[in-house]
Amino acid sequence: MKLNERSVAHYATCDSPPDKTGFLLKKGERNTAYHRRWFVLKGNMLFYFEERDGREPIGVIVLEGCTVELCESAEEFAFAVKFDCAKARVYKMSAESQAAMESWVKALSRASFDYMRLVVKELERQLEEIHEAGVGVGGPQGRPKTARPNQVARSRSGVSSSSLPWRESLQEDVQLTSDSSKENGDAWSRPPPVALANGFVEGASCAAWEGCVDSARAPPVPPRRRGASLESPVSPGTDCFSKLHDWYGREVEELRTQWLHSQ
Amino acid sequence: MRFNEKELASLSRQPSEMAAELGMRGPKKGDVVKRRLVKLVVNFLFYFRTDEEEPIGALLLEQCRVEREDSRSFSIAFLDEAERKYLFECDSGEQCGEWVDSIIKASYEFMRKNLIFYRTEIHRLTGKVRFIRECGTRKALRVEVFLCRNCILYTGSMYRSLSEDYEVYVLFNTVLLLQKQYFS
Repeated sequence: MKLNERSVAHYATCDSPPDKTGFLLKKGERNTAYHRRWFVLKGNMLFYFEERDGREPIGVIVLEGCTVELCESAEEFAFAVKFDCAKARVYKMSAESQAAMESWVKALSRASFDYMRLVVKELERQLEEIHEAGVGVGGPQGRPKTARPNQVARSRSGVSSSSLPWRESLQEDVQLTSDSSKENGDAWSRPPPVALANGFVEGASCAAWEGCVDSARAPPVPPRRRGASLESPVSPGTDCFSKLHDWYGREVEELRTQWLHSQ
Repeated sequence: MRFNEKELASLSRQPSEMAAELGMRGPKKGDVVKRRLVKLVVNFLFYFRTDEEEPIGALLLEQCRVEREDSRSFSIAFLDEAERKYLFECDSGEQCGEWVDSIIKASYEFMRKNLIFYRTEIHRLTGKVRFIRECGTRKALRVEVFLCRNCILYTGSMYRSLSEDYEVYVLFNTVLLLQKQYFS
């Protein structure tokens, strides 16, 4: 089967942010030894390079429809990527530590387009719920506090912003939806600790977002800008994404100019 | 570059968002329009000879541009080789429009933008994200930045937390601005 290989290889190395990167040992196809490869996960494509600064990937594993499992192996911290089709190859890999293995298993389990679709739908639904509940875009002052077990990062200045009935934590949502995903199984239920060091970029990803919520302590909150409650001239319905995109683009330019002038 | 062909072929047999017989012309000079069964599954476009079960080929729809060429046809070009276009001829203008829409939305990167948008919007409405004024001290990296959710949409790519004390996301370009100012 033909594939637009040149463009796929370009996707691997272009500046779109990868979801995860790192070294893993991968069991060879004919040669059953484990080889150390540099892996780059983007969306549902897992690329592998001979070296970290390789210009072109040696290969790619399309992850759609796969399951990820721990496996028995002479290697420590081993896991396998399996597919549901006839005579499918099993990709055996091993990580360099328990934490790395857990992190990869989690990332690979969620690396499907279908999973992403579920998450987006779920968030869309939540957004609609918010709008229906008639929540204004003002500050949280008027809302009663609700005690929740995982308030850690969110109880800034002592004001809880949650009095709404749906599940509060988005990271929970992301994990909840993984339960309903049949194909991409996930053995892990808690988020891995994601260390976001200052000034360190490891690409934009869902994991980064979740991890940040976990690791932040509650800082004192500066006075809330009134102007922050921006209202869209277009009703923020979910089918106006591209209109909003355009409108916001203009807004961004303004704000950026303002910031630059104020320097 | 190696790829898991069997699994990709299996994917081509999954239920698809859109499938139809279209005229298809490859990107090379001298390629002619041929009738193909074209099938959109997640972020892949598979194409088959009309009577065959195994696809001839697949196009990964990331980093590509879809354009309407005329009333009934559209093209797909990949950003690394923008002059090489795959051309598709539809039976009607309406069908053409549907394909263009579907293909635009069939990329993981597009989905990611949606995700970021909804998350930020929810955070904004529930007061979880603070809009704070931009200042900045070199010392503790406690840079308070002006967060604009639109920024994430605008560049669509990167954001990161600059400080462990604040759950702050910064537009890539804005980070660059700050870095020049405070760290150079």
